[in-house]
Amino acid sequence: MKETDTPILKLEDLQIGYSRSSSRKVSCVYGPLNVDIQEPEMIGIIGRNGIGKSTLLRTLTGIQPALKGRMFIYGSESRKISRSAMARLISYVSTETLHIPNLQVADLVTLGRFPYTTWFGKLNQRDTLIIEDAIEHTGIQHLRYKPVYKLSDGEKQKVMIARALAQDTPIIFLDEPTAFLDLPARHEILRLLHDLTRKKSKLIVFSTHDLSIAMDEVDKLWLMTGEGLFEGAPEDLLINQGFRKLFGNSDMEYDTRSMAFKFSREFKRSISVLGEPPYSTYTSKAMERIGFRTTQGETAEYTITIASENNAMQWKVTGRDGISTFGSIYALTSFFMKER
Amino acid sequence: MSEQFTSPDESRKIRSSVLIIVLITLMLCFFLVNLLLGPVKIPVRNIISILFGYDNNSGVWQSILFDFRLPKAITAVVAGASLAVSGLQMQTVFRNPLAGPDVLGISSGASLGVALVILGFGRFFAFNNSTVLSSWLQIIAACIGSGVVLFLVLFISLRIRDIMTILILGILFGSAANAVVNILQYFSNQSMLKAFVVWSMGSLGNLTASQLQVLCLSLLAGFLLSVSSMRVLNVLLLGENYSRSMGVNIKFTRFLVFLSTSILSGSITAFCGPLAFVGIVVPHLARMIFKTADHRVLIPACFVLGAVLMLLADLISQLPGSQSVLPINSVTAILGIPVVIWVIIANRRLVSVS
Repeated sequence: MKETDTPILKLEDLQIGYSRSSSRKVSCVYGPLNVDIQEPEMIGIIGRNGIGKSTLLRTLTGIQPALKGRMFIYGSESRKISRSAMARLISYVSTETLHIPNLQVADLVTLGRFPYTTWFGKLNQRDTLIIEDAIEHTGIQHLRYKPVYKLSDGEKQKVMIARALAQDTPIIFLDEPTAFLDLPARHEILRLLHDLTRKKSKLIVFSTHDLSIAMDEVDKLWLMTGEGLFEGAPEDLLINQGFRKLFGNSDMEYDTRSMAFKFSREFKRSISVLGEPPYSTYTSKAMERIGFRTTQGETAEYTITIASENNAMQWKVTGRDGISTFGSIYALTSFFMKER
Repeated sequence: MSEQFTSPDESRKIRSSVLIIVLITLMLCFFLVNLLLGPVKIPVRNIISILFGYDNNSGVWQSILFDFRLPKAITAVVAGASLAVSGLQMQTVFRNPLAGPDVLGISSGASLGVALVILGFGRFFAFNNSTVLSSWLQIIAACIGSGVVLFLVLFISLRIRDIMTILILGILFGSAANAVVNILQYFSNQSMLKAFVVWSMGSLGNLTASQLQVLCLSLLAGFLLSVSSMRVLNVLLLGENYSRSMGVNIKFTRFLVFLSTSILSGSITAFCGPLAFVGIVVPHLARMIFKTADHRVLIPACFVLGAVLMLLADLISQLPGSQSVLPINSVTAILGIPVVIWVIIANRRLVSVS
């Protein structure tokens, strides 16, 4: 199927948005977009609310028509691909939550075979194999006979990914697969997508707000900013300050020490923290929260020394007024809050 | 069913088949009881021999059976079946548990047609409810009325994408038609009013054999359409976006389903009057009994269950042992409303269809 130099997905001046046939009014949400994807990889779309992430994914899936421009899948123009052929190239996972009574997990995954079955929906051996494979790759074997409405949000998301796998397409688009999930589930879902990209060599494009988790898993990020789309490996975007454009005037910045995005703080005083990591790191973090710039070793107004005494950690504060000792970070910060 | 020896999938299949067979048996029993009951007592033995053509000597019984009881029982079967199947389709397409065959305004359209004939033009020619000519006239008027609404609905379904808008427009069409019917009722005399009210109460017993033939032919077209859309209805449960992403032509599918529903419920309304509640209730019962969301099971299930319920309603309406007959519409409503209440209260979780 894949020839050399034929991109899997190529966008040429694609403009997305909504048009009303009755009033001839066109509201362009985003674009023009020019993108060229050669290899099966995992791409995360990051952008602020309302910038058009969902609109872009719906347009790419073919649920919504593009306003202008062209899209090529394996070299053929998307408008010339038939509905059923498109369903064998691209599958889609949305944010919609389904409440279908009596529908079991295996039934839902089986629905993914719709583009391949005849009018009665009879499954052949190949269909059954692909369904089993999808269930196995997403690790939902134990949920097979459970009704879909009884699943947790994380399990539901896995089942919907399994349905997309059963559709057996080289390209999968997902709209905010990590929304509504708890922290471990977010990690789990993005790791699953990462593994699918590698093991099944699929092109996976998804939108998300979980920037820090996405940065650990994706091959490439698409930053949808007011100034246009910026793409690159997450680390490239750190180097060339791409994220600045994303956050605009807000006070977000990347903290290279903790490898996470932070809202920048204003510090009024400084404090020196002495001790072993991770205790020193944790203590610094807590002190920054209450408005202290932390230094290590340098002399400051106060010095915190962390040491273990009788198998218990102790925080000793040395300042102008003498020495005070605390048994927890909470007690330590409370002391400074009261003082202020 | 022993789940140690069969996989849950297989046992589910076996369960469905057993349930269908039980329901078909129940349908046949009710059908036979329907033939048995009536003001004139005919023994079971004679009924069977007349039905299978062994007995050609008892002329009166033969004519009672072939001219009255058999058409009525068959009408009950097809009416229940088609209303239930079209109700199921509407609930899935609109993703709304309270949708039924009437949500598109089709039965209101039929009412308007009949009201125009009975109330509007009734004064120009002496209207007699019992003649064959006037019964055909009613049927044709109802067909035209429901046909006009059908074309309006199909037209907007091709233009408008949002399914909720279509639902609201359908309800508005129905209300508009009812408003015109009210005006006609206000200006008509007592006997015309009575004739219309009797029609609006529904009846399974007014069909001649030739009318029944026409009805069955048009229903066949409707059933073929709904059987052809079984698989797509399953995908529609996931909503519009998923359906599109799996290659479903949404507008065309809606067109087919609306066409099938209109034919099914439109012809039943035309021939039997507006029959309430069967269309809303039976799909819920079928989902509860069969515990599946698969339309390949639910459509046949609704067919048989609808027939069973309609035969039962007809049995009750005849008030066994008495000479008088209740209006069938009141019986289906009295049977149906407790079920709707039960659906809403007991299954708050399951109340959504998709």
